[in-house]
Amino acid sequence: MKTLTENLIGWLDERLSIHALIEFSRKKQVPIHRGSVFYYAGGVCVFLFLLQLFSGILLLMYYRVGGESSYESVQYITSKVEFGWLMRSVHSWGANLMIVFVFIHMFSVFFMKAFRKPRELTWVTGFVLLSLCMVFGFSGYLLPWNELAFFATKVGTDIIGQIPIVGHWLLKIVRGGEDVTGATLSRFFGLHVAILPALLFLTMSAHLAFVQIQGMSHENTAPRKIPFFPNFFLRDVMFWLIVLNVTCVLAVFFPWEVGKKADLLSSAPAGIKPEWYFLAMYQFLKVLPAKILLIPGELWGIFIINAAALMWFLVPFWEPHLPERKRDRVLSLVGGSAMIVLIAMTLWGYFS
Amino acid sequence: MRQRFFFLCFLAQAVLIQSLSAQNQCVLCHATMGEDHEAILRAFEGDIHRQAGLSCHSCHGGDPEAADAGSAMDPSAGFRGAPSKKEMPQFCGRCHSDPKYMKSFNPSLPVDQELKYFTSNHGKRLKAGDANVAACADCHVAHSIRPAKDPLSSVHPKNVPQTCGHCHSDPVLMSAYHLPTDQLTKYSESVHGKALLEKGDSAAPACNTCHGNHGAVPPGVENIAHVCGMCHAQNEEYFKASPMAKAWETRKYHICATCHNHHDIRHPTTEVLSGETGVCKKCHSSDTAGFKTGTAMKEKLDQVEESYRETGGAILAAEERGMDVTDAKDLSDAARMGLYQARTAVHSFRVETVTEFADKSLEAAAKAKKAALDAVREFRWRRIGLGISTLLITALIILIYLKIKDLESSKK
Repeated sequence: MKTLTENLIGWLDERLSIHALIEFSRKKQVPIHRGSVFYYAGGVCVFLFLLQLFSGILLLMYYRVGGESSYESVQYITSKVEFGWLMRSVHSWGANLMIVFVFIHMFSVFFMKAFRKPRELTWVTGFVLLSLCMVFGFSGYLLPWNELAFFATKVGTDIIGQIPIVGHWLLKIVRGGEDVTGATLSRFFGLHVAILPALLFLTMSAHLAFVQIQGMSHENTAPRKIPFFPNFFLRDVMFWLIVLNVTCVLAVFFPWEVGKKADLLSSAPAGIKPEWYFLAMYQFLKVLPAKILLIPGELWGIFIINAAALMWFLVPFWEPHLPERKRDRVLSLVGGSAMIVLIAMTLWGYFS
Repeated sequence: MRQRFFFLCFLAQAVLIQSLSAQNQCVLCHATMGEDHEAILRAFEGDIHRQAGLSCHSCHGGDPEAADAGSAMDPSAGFRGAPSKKEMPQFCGRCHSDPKYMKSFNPSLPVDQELKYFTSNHGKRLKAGDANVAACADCHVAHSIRPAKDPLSSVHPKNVPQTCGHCHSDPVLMSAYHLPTDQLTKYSESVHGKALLEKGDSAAPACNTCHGNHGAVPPGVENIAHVCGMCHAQNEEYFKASPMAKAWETRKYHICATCHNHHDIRHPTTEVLSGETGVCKKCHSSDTAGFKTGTAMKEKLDQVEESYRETGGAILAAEERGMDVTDAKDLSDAARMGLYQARTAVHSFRVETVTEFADKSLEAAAKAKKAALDAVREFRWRRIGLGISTLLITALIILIYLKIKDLESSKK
């Protein structure tokens, strides 16, 4: 006699060909080599995205956007709603951890040269995902409408205004006016809960589809391979659980503060800084002289940052044109310098 | 290096004189008349009159465009020179008592300073021919007069005690008037002096807040309650409705100063009501109803203060654990408000009035303490919950690890 589960799987199999999917996963091989541990970073990013989605939806049930309600509703979530404090802290810590793992994933892909043909589009979509994550973080940071968030957003959006010709116009679009106000909060909220999740979901789907279509890099050179299902999948789950444990410990021991409510008329508190993932850019813009060759230093800074980001984005397209014997050395040099500069500028920004 | 410094000083002075002396012969001549005159020119740069576009001749008269001293300082050309002490109120009042003229600079500025000055003891004595009393320039410092809101001004709230103390702490000067000279020392040690001079709270009263500015007089027995009541209105109201008011009036006691003193007003603790060290025993022996009322009020206030202190400790403990204590803090604020109201109600000299507010405070403090302790308890539960879930997740991780090992070893 068939069990209920077997019956259910049979029913689904008739309609959705589940066995074919499982068979595909069993046949799919994952190469095991020295750098395999970094493969889990990508999976952790997906897990953290799901965690953000879950905690974000729960927060959305109580969060009320508006200059007079955002701060109060976050305060209500953390003090009155059952496990609201946990969801808010998990969401905040999850966001930070997600950016950490996106960076780890990106640098590991870079150093393993996994962006090379035919995986250029995987790299491109990955870069778009990183950018989306950072905009996610920036827009979400303002939503509690506290003093730190308000001034960090003011400083962050000020930079947009420095862009020549279209800067002021862009600034007004981002802020919904000349200054950071309730209008900014409303559009950041819309961006954070509707536009960005849709874009991230679509881009992530494309990114994962590319991985499935092209398979893992080093497939032919790795000393051994394991089936994706269940061997690699179980390893993935194991890492997800470790990250979940870390997130919970951080949420309980270092709960995210609600802070003081944003006051549009007060002066900025001393030492106001953006979130850590923008610190490197912020510090770079800060240390530039006021004028370089009669052009404002900040303008040079914005140009240099954008040029560097564009070069990084286009790595799979310019790298093949390098002389073959120098390619690996140049890549290691570029990747190593980028990592050192980012870490050093972030630390400098943090401690200055 | 030194030469360069002196050169820069010379340059700065030249620029200063140049800026003052544009078509002004007064400056050109007086700049060459020694250090005293140069100091006046330097000080005048920051003077409010200079900022308002006035110059030497605006007060002293004369012709600033005339090149020779005789024509420039010709009394027939309106030269008034420097006023004597006796002339000073009218000298300054020429403009400051003219509403039409003052309106062109600052419509909100009062124009009754001269009038008030002659109602003050300073003004009365000056009129009687005493040149030792304070006139305008003694408090406002001629040629470097700044508005009272300017921290560098001699009449800025933080500087007023020193400005008044300059004369009133001088025993030689005050001996002629048989006035004490310890007011500044006493004030500096008082609750008001500490708030103003140590904490920088410019809302705290300085000498002029109680004695008046230009019409400075010591408040008498009849009006001291009004003076203190300007800020402590509720205390005055309670006192006037209390059974003590009549007795005070009959005995001609200073309403506030009898218990709180004049210039050395200390922060009142419940010790003021204490049978041992308090002020009640000055009049009430231990077997009187008044003494018992004081003791009962003290006991109630001590209870409220202790309860409020305990609440603060509980809130701190919860805050240190990163817990949200917004509700507890709101309740604690209500408890503090009740405590202040109970303290103020002491001036009604009725135990039931003090008890009414004290009970409100105790109730709010109890709720605040409970909310804070609940938060501490919640924190413990969170840690226990975290511990359990961490253990479960870790067990799951180990199981998955063993499953992987099993899978891979069976394949081999």
